[in-house]
Amino acid sequence: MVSLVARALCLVLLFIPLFAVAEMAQADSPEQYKMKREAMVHYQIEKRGVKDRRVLEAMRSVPRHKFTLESEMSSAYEDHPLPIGYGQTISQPFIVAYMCELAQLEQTDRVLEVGTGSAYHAAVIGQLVDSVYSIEIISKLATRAQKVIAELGYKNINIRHADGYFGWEEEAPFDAIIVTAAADHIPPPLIRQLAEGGRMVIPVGHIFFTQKLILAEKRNGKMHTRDIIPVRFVPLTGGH
Amino acid sequence: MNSALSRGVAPILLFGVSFCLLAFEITQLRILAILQWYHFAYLIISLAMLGFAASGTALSLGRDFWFRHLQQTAISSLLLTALSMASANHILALIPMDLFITIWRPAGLLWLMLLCLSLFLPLLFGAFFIILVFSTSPRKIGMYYSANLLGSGTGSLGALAILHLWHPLEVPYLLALLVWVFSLILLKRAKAMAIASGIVGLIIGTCWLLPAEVTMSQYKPLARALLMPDTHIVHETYDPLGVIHVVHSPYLRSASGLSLTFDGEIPPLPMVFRDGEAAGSLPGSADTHTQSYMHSTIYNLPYWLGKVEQALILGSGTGMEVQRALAEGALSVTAVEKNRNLTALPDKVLPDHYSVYNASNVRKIIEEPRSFLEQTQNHFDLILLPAGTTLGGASTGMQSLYENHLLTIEAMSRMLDLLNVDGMIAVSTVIDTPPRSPLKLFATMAQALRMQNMVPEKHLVAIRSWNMTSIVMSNAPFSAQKVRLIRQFAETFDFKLLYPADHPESIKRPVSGFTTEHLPSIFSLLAENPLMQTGSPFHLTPATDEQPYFNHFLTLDAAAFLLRSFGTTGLIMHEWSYIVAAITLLLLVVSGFCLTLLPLLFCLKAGSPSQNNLRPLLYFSSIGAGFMFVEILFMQKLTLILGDPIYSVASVLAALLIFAGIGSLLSDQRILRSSRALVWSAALLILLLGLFFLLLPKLASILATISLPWRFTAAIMLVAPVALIMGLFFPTGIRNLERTGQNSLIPWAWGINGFVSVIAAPIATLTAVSSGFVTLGLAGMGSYLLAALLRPENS
Repeated sequence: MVSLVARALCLVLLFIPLFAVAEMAQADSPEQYKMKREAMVHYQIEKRGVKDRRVLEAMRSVPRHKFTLESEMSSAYEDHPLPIGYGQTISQPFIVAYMCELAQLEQTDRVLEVGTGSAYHAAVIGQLVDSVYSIEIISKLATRAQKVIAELGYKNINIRHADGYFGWEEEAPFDAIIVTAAADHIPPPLIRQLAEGGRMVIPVGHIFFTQKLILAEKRNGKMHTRDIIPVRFVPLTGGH
Repeated sequence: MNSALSRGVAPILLFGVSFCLLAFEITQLRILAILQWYHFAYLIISLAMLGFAASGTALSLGRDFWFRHLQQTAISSLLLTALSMASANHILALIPMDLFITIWRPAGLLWLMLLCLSLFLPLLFGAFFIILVFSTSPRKIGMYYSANLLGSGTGSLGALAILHLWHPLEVPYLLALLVWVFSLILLKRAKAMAIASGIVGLIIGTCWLLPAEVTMSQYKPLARALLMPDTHIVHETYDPLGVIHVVHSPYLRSASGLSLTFDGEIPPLPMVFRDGEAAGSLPGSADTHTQSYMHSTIYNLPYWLGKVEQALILGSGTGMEVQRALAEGALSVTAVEKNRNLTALPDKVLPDHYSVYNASNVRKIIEEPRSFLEQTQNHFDLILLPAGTTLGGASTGMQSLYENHLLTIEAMSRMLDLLNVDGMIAVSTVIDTPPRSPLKLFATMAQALRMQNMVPEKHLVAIRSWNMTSIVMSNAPFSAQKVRLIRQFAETFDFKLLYPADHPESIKRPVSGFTTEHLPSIFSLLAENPLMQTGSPFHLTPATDEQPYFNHFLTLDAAAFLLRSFGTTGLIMHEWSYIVAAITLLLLVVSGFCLTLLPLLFCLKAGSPSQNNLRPLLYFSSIGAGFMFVEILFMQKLTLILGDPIYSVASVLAALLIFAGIGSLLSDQRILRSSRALVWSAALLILLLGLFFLLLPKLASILATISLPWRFTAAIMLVAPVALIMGLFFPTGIRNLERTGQNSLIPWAWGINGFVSVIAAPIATLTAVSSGFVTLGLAGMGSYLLAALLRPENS
């Protein structure tokens, strides 16, 4: 009995490197990615209460795996954020969809995104509105994002390497501002560049886990904030 | 080698090796806290500690072989210890420091195993040497065990001294070199070993000369800040409390608590990072431009209510709040900060600027804030508690298991005593999700008022911004005019008044009151009865000096709620401390079982030790658990006297190990050899611990008035008699095994004792948090009582 346990333990220890290698070698075909995307939208987003048809369609059409690091491609449609290097992440799919829904985006809207990162979020917004302006402070990330966006043929997404704190003055005002890089205060220049009636969405929490979203709306020149706690973080029906 | 040992070298080697192992362990804890996160470091080090337990098992498995080649075995174990210490940094350099996100995948698990191994091996080889020497002469166990404990005790203090002089990343090489030198002492007519020693020495030297490039996790705030353009470190300083970096960047701006009505510019200021975590910014110059935004923050509420002449800033850090107090016209500011390096930063980094700490009306006190409160006899118009994120938000889950003696009912009561007639206490905290910190803070203040026979409804106000809450407690009831001023402040800066509520008639007990929308109603309920159940699943009962865990929020209901609402990731991110403690405990039990008990079962099957070994093994388990319970109890209780946990950990470890060492030396004395002596020892130990509990509150207030070195001495003297008695139990047990011909059980005794000690550490911490220090003390007493009942009988 004892030797059996010991042998089983040794086997488990031996299999860990094998699993690791297998995990790295895994790659999916375009059809498989499409199926994974469908499943992602259905189980992770729709079932958690995101109802906006346009948002769901946008999430279905943007190939998330093209925005991840090569080593993370097989995990692209899993229900968590992914590292993209330079201390940044690509947000959990549900959070991307939920932020888009909260921003109540219309086709004719001009949207500012602060913190381009992988440009996945910008690509999803790009499916929903006419023009997206996205700012990234880390030059290597900005360059990589510009390359991916160009390769995938998005024409309405403009990415700039600059300090997002000051927004994009020349293109202001914006109907919506989506801040993906949280700070301890909302930058006054962003408040100025938000159009009357505009919405600003800010995630709060750990870099790997959004605890709540702040929705700020500008009415009569004043900002009105509301805490949004997405209580449906867990799929209502199991399995995904 | 036996001849070398008989010349009296063994105790010296035991002392030296034990010193190096303890110093290595403390240094690695510091290194991992810098590169990753403190809790992760705690988990890994706890696992590595199993090296001690596993060494006993390793010795037992090949006992005959090891003793046939005693000299080679001893030298090899020392050389391997040195080699593994020197290579620890190089292994760390290979491992991606983002383990906490990849740990759930096979690749992540592989890296974690490698990381544990790099820390486990030096402790395994080092402890193997110690137990080998123990086993060579059980008759001298008293002397050997005391050398081991004295070395460990000195090592814990020595590590603090070493970390003052060397950067943590350099220390493993230094310790490796020391262990290598110890191995040379045993070289005698052993040519092959001499060659091996030479090679190992060469490798250590090369490693030191060509150190590994170890980088911190890219997700630590410092690493992320440094990715910004034109951003660089302008100052670095280190001591045992941490490595501090000051970063200059045109892109780093901080303005916590800022009103959304502010339309001006936030100037970039040098940011301070401690162990890679953000620790605030340095105050800018005193010009109007730099300070304009400060008037528009939530922190300004107390200054809006009237003239503050004498301000007390607790945990003043780099001096931001001191600058605000001066800007708001305070005539005298007392700034209390325990970290000297933080207060010195403005002078070192911004020599051209005027440091607020140098102002003639600022009195800088280097002291732990609670200790200062106990000492001072002065009175103040405003007492400001440490602001912002240090109390709540993302950090909450990280601090759950740490005591905070400033946020207890007793501390708040003391602050009320120190207020002038119209004086106020103000504190701001991030509104965490779901809200917990503001609620507990409010309840703590309300309960402190009740204990002073004051009506909380008349003495408390609270407002909120989009992400922060400010609570002000006044010595005198808030007048109608002051309430008007508070409303005016909230309206001017677009903050919301939470308490007193705008429409009290609409206050209803919430059905599931744990969203930010419910804050006004829950505050109203807590003002009426601070100890009531508010509908929140979290533990919101105010902290006390008996259970000073302000950030302890988790209950079974809360865990179920977090799991239901946010899933496993959410639970982990909200209550990281508990999860790490639980995982640590689980991993320790599993790996401890594999490393100690499983091989024991093998041996039992082979019939090697006697079948009657349950009683001695239980005896060694009891003293292992008891020692750890008492150790953790002293460390946490004495923080109140010594101020900083690092001082209490250092003094308690040193006192426990040194005096337990002396105790084990005394155990050789005829009068203490009898098993009856153990019964008397256990009775005396229980009496001393009982006295400690009875007298500590009085002692704490008396000792608070004396200087730190004297408090340090007093703490050691308090621990000494208890440690002396605890030191008797292990060698007496070992000696009895030898006397009864059970020598083969000695490594098992060591292994079991080590294993139980290691798993008792997280159990003790969790017991203190959930049930308080009295329960922990009783557990310690119970363990020694059990040991006395299971005592080895004289044959």
